[in-house]
Amino acid sequence: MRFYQHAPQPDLNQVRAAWRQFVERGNEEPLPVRPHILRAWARSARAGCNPLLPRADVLTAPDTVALLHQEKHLIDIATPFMIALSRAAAGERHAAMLADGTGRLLKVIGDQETVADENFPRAGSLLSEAAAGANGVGTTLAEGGYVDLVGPEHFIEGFHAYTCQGAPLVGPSNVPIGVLSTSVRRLETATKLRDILFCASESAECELLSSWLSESLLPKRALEAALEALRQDVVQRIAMARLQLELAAKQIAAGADATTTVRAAQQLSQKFRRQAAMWRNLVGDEPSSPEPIALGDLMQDFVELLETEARVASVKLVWVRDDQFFVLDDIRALSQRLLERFLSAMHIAAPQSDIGITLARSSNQAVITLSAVSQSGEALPYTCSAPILK
Amino acid sequence: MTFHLLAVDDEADFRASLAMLFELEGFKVTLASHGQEALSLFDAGLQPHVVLLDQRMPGLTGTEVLQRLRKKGRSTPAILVSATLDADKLAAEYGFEGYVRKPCGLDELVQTVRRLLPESAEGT
Repeated sequence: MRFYQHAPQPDLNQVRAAWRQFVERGNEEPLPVRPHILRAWARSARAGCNPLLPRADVLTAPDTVALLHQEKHLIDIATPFMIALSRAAAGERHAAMLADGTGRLLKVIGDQETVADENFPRAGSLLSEAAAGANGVGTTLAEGGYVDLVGPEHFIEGFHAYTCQGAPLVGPSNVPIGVLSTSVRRLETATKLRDILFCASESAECELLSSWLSESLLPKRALEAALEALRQDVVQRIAMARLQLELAAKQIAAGADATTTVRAAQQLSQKFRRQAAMWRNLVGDEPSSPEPIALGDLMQDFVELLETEARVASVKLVWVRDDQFFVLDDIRALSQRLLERFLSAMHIAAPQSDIGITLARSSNQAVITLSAVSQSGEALPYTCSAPILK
Repeated sequence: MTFHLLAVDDEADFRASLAMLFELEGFKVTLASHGQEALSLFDAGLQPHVVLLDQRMPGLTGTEVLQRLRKKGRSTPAILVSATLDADKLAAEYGFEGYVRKPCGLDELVQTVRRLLPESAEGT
């Protein structure tokens, strides 16, 4: 799993004593705390954060309004996943939080008591490590991956009552643009929410990518009907992942085991990412450099991408994965050539027929052959070649 | 009262998720994997309160299914569920009572369905 750190849960009495020692004397001798916590404390101290703060700094109301307006897109996309997290924690003191890429909180959803607590962070609160010490938002950004912090592992005393965890949200340009985080009172609740937090952050990233695919690429190139149909098929993957996630949240809230549902959602999210990357190659019009391409993997991805298209066309793509070999080609150009061949084969193939896919190699070339049979019974091969990687 | 939903989608996982989620919301759910199956269910006497129709399916599209239903005199409220960017226009053009653009959340789906439910209704 992408974010998980296999660290044992801490002995809180030891951590409390270590925190006091660190605050009073610094990191003079080895302390019995988890490595990511020690790194976070050191960063917090170096940045001059006051460990005795009761709460985080918060923006003025007008500045908060401006921030929320600026980050509306991220908030809109993340909100359903925060609601799912909150649902999964139903009945417990909790908060699901969204922050931007600087650690500034954008939204908090939780039980009434937690959200109404004046010391609890709210939209506009700055949770970067420099401002608020080690915490589920700032430390997630600083570590660049999932973290959890239990009670006194937080750097500022005001957060010692909470158990927090966070997962970064990476945008379509592969830059962290935010954090999805939960804050609860009981360690058991945090453990219950962990898998769904992974899944929610993964799904939110996919929706950011999906939105970017739809909104940013469309003006650059008028889409042909086939590409638009494929985009819809790709979006279907994330639509299914999202429903699975919401189902998991309900199962967790009801005390049921949601492991299978969470895994299904994660698999769909991962499938979406692969297909979204393929779709970007198919619509991209800027040339890219030749690169090694695993042809077997590419064909497998094509078969999965075209699964719905084939079903709509009432044909079956028959691909038996054999040897893996590599070609050296421009991935965009090769993908576009292959798509053209696939669409031609599916267009000509008789309904209910199979389209066989085979790979062959000579000393210099790999040849992909799509064998379709037309309605009149004529066998029609569609081929595409690429230079073998030597 | 238990409301009855017919969900028509060719993706088995999506159908299964819809069924589980709407059943948790207290609905009775019937599933169909393509348009012709949905029409056959209506012909066999099914009377759902609302039908969710995917657009891209093998055989009949969602809009074609709706046209055939209306020709048969069935006025069951229908919701278009589609990833197309102009789902709103498509729904308006073909006379759907509602639409949901994929990816969509449970709340959006449930609210759209509930908006079309009669205050008091009997279905089979």
